[in-house]
Amino acid sequence: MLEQYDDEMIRCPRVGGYVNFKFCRSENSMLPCRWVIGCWQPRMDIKAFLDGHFSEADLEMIFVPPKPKLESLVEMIERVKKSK
Amino acid sequence: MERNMYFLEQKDMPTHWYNIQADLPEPLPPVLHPATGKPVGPDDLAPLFPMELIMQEVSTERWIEIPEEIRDVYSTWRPTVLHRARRLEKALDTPAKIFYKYEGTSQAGSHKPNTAVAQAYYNKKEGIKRITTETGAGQWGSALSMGCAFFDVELKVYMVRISYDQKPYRRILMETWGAQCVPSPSSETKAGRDMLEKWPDCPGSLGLAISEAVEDAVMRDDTHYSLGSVLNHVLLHQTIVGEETRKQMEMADAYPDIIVGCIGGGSNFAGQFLPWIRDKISGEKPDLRIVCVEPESCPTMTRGIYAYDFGDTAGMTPLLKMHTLGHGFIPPPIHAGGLRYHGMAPIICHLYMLGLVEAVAVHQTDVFKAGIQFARTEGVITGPEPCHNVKVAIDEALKCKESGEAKTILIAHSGHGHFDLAAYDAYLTGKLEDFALPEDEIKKALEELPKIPGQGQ
Repeated sequence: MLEQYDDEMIRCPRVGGYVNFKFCRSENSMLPCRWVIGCWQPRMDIKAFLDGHFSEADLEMIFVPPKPKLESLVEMIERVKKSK
Repeated sequence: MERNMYFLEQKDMPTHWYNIQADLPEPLPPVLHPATGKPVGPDDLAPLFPMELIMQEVSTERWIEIPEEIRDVYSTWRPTVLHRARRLEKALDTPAKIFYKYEGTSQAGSHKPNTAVAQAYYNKKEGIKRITTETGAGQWGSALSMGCAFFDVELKVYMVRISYDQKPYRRILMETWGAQCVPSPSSETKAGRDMLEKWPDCPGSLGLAISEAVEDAVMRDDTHYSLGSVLNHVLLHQTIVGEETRKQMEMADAYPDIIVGCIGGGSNFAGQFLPWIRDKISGEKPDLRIVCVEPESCPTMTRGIYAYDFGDTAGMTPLLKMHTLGHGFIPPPIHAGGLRYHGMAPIICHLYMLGLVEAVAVHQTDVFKAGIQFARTEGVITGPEPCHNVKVAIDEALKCKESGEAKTILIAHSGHGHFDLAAYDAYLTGKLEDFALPEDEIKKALEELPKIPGQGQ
């Protein structure tokens, strides 16, 4: 069940406070946070959870390496300019 | 009475920021434009940042003058005090000398205003009337709110909704300083509206909050965007911390053997250690140790997508497909893996790759245990992040106790934890757990990792 761990709490170093698992499994445009394995692996079978609820394409999308900050900012600028 | 505090006169506050780019043994690699593949130029960044900050981002000038207007504002809390942690030393019964440079006395309670004030100033100077930013727990948002208040610049903060709901005091701080704080996703940007349409109860994310803040800035000519970590100009502004500390350590007739600091986006620790690392680069202090501390449990640093990150950095992503989920990959707890994390400041990544800084990971219960010891000896309730530094400083001091060496340890202390008492409560009530992979899993994962030249595992 997708919601089975939703109420489990953890301190998120990115946000800087406590969040529940529901946040972690959905914060990346409704897909799991890319750091979800490192955070949750010691507390649950996170790999089984991800494999059970997300497609291989989803998982590949989640774990795309993040871009350097400046590069991602430039990309965002271009995207917004196009939609203006 | 023994001396516990080293004060600088306001007239002795540094007048220049130190730019490490002048002294790097190898220059930073250029950032490439995702569409053209050519190096990103000032015009590409102009929709978000004032030109002076863009030029600071790429400058190789060693010293950059701090404008008088910024120094005037700095002087409302700077210079900050360098403390000698004698009570901690006594409690540890160590011959080591422990110093900490405490940034918690800024009005916002952390080091963040050092760049917030500067960024507000340069935007104002360029005629910008309004700034947007994102914030997670609210530390950066509140610092920038204060900076913008000093220069009469309007500020809109997109705060990750889950924090917005959970941390009302940070929001109130921002509003008190005059900022508008909205939960992200908001209905005020296309990115926010798209998400709310798909998921009305979305708790938000940092990525989405950044998208909203950037969109807001790009859509308006009178608005820029501001970032509180990672970028070179942010680290530059923080070097006032280390420059002050150098003068204060001289007053104490001491020079650090070890400097410890935690690394998130890198701005706090870099602000302290960059002014010292030039002595190591020049060969004057080859034995100076600079220790970056990260949480053992922190996914962004020690585990998580380490291998993916490394693949990207090395341009070897196809190789790392071997380690995708469902194919037996266990993220290895390799210390300092996160130093290659692209959320980390490029300057710190670069210095790590050059072997000029080292890294260590620590367990969170040990971190809070150290924070409690620090609170009960020095009196300071330390923020969760700088508690990591305290933990490693204590470890190093205890090593000195064993060896009998009287090393000098300098802690980069970024601020207080008055808004993080829930984390202390979790520790005190036994709710914090340590995460650690079993040794056999670690060994197996390490054996499975691809062998990549230059990677010290």
